[in-house]
Amino acid sequence: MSVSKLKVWRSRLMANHGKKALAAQTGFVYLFLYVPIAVMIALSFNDSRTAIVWNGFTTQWYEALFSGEAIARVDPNQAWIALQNSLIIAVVTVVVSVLFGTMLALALDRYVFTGRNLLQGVVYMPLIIPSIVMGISLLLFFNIVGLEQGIGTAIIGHIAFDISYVTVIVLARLQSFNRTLEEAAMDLGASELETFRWVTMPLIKPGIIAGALLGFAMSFDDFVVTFFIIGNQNTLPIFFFGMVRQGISPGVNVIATLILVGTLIIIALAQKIQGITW
Amino acid sequence: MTEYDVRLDGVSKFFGDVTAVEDVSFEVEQGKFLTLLGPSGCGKTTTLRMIAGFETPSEGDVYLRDQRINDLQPFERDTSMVFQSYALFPHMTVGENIAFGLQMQGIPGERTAADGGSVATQSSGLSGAFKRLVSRHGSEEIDTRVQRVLELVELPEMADRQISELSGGQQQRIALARALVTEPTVLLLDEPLGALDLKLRKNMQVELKNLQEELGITFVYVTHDQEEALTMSDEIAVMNEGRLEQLGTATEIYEEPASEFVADFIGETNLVHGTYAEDDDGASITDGSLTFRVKPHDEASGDIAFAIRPEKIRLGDDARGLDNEFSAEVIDEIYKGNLGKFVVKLENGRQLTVDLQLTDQGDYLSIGRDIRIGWDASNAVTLVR
Repeated sequence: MSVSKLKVWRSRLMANHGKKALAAQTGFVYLFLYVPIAVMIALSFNDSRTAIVWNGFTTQWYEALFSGEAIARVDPNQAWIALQNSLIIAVVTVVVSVLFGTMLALALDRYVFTGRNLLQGVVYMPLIIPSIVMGISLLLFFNIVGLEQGIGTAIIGHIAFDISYVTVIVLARLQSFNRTLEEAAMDLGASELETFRWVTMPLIKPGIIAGALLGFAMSFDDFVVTFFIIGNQNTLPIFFFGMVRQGISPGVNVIATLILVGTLIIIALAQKIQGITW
Repeated sequence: MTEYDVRLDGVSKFFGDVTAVEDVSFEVEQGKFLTLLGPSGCGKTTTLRMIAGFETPSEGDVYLRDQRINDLQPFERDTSMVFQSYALFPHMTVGENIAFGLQMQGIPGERTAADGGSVATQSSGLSGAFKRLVSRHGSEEIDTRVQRVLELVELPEMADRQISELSGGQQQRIALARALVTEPTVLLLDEPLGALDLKLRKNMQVELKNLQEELGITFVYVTHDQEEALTMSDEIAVMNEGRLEQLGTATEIYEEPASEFVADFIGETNLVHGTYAEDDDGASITDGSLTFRVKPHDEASGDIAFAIRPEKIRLGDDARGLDNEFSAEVIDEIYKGNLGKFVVKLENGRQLTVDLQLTDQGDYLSIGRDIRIGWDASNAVTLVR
């Protein structure tokens, strides 16, 4: 087949089937992404204590959880404590990381100082170092310093990698920021602080919010680092891990589904806040 | 006594090893329109930024009225800037953009009659400063002034628009309105018309000049466009390589350039180098076999140059009896709109550009023809630099 014939054949194929092929491919990608989650949600309504086989619809696991009964070895009180720990760690981590991460991003963007390139490179390290290395090194550090492991050390550990995520995202936003706007504000009589408040911050706000959301997810999600440094406390991922080791129970599915719903609500709220000027 | 709004005294600015501005001094009279004109990289924008406070002079002093302002922050200076990129705040409406300066200066209430006339209008007081961090207040005073300035720039209905909804020309006017609303002592404009198309730019040149005369505010305007400078300015400061080449009115700059750079940069000119000599009748410059009568200059001597504008050169019979009269050969022809431009070669090989109106002399000139050309000594400006 000559090249020109091949081209004709290809363009005809594209014209006749291109759209369908693209739609099918897109469909597969989404199936790949969402089928496992759908299965988990479905099984949280499955009327079976152990099997991963569909046995009929029930809401009994949800009712049991909300009334505080243990379902298939999952103790709701322990799950609740684990969730509380996860939330406390994530919230404190995000607040501290956003504050210091934004400040670090501003410093790296604005100032030329000795060691800036080194510092900028080092910021990315926690994103690259394997979590397991991070976990071990933090464990060593806390042991040497003599800090008792628990929620506090977990927070410190999470901040150590969360600052990087916030910094990287805010820095990206700052690099597309037009500095002339700040000059204009100061020219009009705004002090440095007023300029930051009314011009810089509103314009880098999407970066800060994105950094906070990612930082929250990273902290809330983290298993490996937390596992090394939290001592005998539980976070939700560690609690789940303990449960799943003894087989998947409907209780795990229920809690995971509820977390998913909670996450969606948080994201919806965050998007609503994005539109409002601080 | 003449009052000066802006005064630069021996100002230099170094960035590391690079000299951006070198020993520049000038004064801008109250209510005048001064243009800093020069090619890119000549230091004109740096000079403007030193007046605005975005750069600190390495040497010399900057004065606003009688106050030395070297060490004042941009927000402490009673200057407003119109930026080349407009720098309108994208997250605020047109009205909010314009109101911003008034709000940050603590208007209304905090500015008293006593400091109304001072150079620094930044209102002090901890409570005011704190309030401005929590919220930006609107007020009737602010609304009135925003509306008034919107009418001034002929966009009275635009207060609630988003910046992204405006055309380039409208953004330009809003940037101007935002800078004017605080009633600055001096308005600084950094190539504000650079981003507009030719027709709009022409219109805005006239409007800006009218506005400046109407308001009586001192303008310091930066441009690399000589035509813009000649159209709008009371005075032009021509800059090159960080130095001030010449300060004068448009006519002075054009008719009496002080240096080869100015003669060459403003309009079109013929530069002829040679040896200067004075005699009883005046002065002359000799280039090879030809001697040109030129305007005498006190500081002139040795090898220097003179400038003769293409439109000052007369042709044919018109050239007879002038101080300078030569025969020349037409070697090239350039058309530019209604103007016929020709390149002629003198006996000594020197080439000159001459203008003529096509309407007058149609096909009077053609390549290869020998013609007579001439000009008055008073039009041949001797250049000592």
